Amino acid sequence: MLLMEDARKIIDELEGLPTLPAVVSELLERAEDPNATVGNITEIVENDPSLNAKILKLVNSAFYGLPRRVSSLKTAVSILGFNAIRNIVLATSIFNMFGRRGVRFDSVGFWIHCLGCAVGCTTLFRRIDVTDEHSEFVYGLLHDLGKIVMAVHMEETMAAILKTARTEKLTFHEAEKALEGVTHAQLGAALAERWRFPETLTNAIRYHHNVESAGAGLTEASVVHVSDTLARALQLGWCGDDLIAPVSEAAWDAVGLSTGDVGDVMDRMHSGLIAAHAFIDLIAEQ
Amino acid sequence: MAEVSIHKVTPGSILAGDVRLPGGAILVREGVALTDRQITFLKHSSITTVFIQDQLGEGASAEVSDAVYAERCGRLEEMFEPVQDAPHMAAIRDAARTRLRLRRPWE
Repeated sequence: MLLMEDARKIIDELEGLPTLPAVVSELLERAEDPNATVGNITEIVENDPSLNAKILKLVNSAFYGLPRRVSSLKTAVSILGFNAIRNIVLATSIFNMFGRRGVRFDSVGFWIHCLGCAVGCTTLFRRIDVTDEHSEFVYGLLHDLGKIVMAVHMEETMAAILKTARTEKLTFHEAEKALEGVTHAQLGAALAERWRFPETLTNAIRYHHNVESAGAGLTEASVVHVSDTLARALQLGWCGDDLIAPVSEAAWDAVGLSTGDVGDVMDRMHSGLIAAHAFIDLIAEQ
Repeated sequence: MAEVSIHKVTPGSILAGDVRLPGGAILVREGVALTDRQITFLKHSSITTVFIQDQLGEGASAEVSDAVYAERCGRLEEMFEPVQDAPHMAAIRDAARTRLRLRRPWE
């Protein structure tokens, strides 16, 4: 299997790979600054009218369920917090950049799978007392970022993996390993590094199929891994194959689930889908 | 639409009307899919009942047809057949089987 360095080289050499909009890069940088104020963050976002409008529309949607309508961007930023703003902006920008392009790839089914994984992540993070559930939603939404890169910019590679998965009855990840190329997890992490995503998000993308190697990022990678498994079992969308791999024992232990908990988690995922579906509709609006 | 005791409301239930304090202030707006945290908040605000809407609109079913359910169960069995003896997978399959009856928001 190729190494992470190979994935970084591929990302560097891909033609036509979009750059992250400047407002997103600036926001990512500023949101990591412990001295950043609500005013700083507001100033960055308010210069982009489209993002401005989306944030206000989202904060006033049923997804956030606030008792009063918010009309000021500064108020929206203070209510939602830096992490939520960062992740709304990230998800919106990426969704719009890649949208529904991609040959031989069911992009609608793919986004539904990502949505399913996202609600799984919010459910599982809450169970282990990580309280910023709006932020953690994006872990699931972007976990398969590498597949988007493959679908749009590496069509032959994607076609080969899908064919191998189909004919050899393998999962997407098993097929890409069998072909000994770079994996979608590595590609997604390389792109996340290039775009300077938060390290915890980058690591979760990189290790969600290999949580045993995640080190300090074990919790986040495990949440994504288990959410991915549950979303597949519930047949939420499509992620490149119609199979399921055994859930990692290390991931299962890290999220602290028992077999009796699974039904409850799935029920909460279904509830989350109802609200999150509105979130995706708003993000996807042009 | 149904009036439901706050103690029987489940996360994800969608409000059919604003929830207000006696003085008229809105606590949670119509259309919100209630979270655990919001349900607890309403209980602490002495709200006893709320109006919940059918999540798919009046007259719509929250479950898929028998034919669709059977198809989903068939896929589930195929998906899990190679891995059913792996730790936790039988439990995941069995929990999913029941929930495959539910209609998804985009269906």
